[in-house]
Amino acid sequence: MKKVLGVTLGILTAIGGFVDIGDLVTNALVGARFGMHMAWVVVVGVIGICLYAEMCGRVVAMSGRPVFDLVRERLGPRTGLLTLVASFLVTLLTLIAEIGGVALALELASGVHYLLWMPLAAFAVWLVIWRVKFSRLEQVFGLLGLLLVVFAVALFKLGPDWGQLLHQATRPHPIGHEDWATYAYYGIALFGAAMTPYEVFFFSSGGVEEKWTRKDLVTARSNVFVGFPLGGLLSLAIMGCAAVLFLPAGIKVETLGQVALPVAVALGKLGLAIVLIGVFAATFGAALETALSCGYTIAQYRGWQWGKFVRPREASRFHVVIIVCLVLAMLTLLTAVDPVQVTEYSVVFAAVALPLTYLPILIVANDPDYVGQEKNGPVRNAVGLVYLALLTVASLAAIPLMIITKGGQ
Amino acid sequence: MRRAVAVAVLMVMVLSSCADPDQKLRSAAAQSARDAASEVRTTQVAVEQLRAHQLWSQSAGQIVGDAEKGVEKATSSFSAQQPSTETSTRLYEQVTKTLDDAQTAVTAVRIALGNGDLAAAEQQLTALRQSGADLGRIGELAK
Repeated sequence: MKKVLGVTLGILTAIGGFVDIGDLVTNALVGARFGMHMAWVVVVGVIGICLYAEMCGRVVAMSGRPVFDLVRERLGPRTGLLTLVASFLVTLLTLIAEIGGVALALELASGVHYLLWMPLAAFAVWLVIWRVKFSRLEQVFGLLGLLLVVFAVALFKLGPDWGQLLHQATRPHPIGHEDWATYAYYGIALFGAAMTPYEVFFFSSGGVEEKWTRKDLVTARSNVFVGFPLGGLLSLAIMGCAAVLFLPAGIKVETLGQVALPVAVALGKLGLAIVLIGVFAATFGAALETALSCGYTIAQYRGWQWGKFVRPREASRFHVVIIVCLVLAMLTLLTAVDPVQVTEYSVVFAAVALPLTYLPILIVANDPDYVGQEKNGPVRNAVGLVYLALLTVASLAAIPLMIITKGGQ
Repeated sequence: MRRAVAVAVLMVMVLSSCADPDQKLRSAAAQSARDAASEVRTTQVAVEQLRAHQLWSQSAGQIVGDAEKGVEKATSSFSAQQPSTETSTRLYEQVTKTLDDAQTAVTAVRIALGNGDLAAAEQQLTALRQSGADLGRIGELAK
């Protein structure tokens, strides 16, 4: 019974923790501009993150070590450094976007300008990381993030023509004034949002924090294969809400207020309150994960003591990295840069860094020295390679498309 | 090989500089109109939801404040265009007026909501609908 409860809790946490500011903004933006014509990208992205997160979970359960630690050992310091730089910069950019998201959610609820909330948000992230147990912080914000299910309820309440939505979802092409370049650009952004590098680093380091062993493989796999796809459904619900309300009206999503507006239209003030708490939890939880991931990657590459399973004094350099990243995020946002635009760029740059993040994982998951009998089989490797090819194409096309489409305009 | 690349680059430059100025202005007008229409319709939805007690006033104020910034951006982006023919000058003036009307309506809503005057905000709904429709028509001028 205790085990079933643990697995259920893990799944619920994974669903709630799946959506972050990148998913919120990108799915709503894409739904408003392309309807459900890009829903297939979410499906492809979710399958990809499930595939590679499962590999990470297996590596951790079998070796007891996080993936980044093994990447440096297996591929050498130079390749490890390249992976570190690419993944760290993208994770830092994502952290900036998440802190901005927390402040924007608070602004929407209170009417107080987000720049005033932002230092408080960064401080609160640090305080929670410093004081709260790893499992507690993961569960609390993951479960509160489940409130975003309100998007699915709102979608039903908006009373869409389901046949029309399905019709759109099965026809992957640009519509109206949009062209193929913009379609491809946002497709890559959506793919980047679903497969953000920090997710696998956090997942694997979290496995070490929670002391996963071979026995925990079931928990890890259920989190991945049940939790993540259900989280993907939340992403589709956000896209669907925007497709139903905004696409016919010609409204483009450019602010967090617009992301939440369909829920208010469908469910009123109560729905708005729930969605704002959900957005706050999702972005705050993701801010915790990205801040921790910044510390994890650098500390694991450098071979420092890391993690929340030891006292902060024993992992002082790990905590200093987190504090420095939070200060950098705060200073960047204080320049009054638009957090939503930072989010849009962060998911595109995440796509650029994807092959550098996922190739080493594929290599380590095939090494019997680390995973013993649990190394990848031929099917997993074949699908893994197909995804690697996809990730490489997305990575190479992201920047040229950003220039051609003027950032998706 | 170098010569071929140089010729290709030169051709692209010449062709781009020879683009029809009227067409260029139509494209810019359509883009700005679509951007502004998006903000006007967002404002309209916010006021309608506020009237239906579906939205808090501070959230509506926030959404409308953001929409106002968006309309300003679209207006200033279009006003930086340089009409060079009689046709494009006429279009420029017509689009500028429509964008100005949209901005005036959205600003009026923002001020009304700031003063807690929902009736004044509701009075702008007709202007918002008219602006949205006008901008929608201009948005269809080009892809």
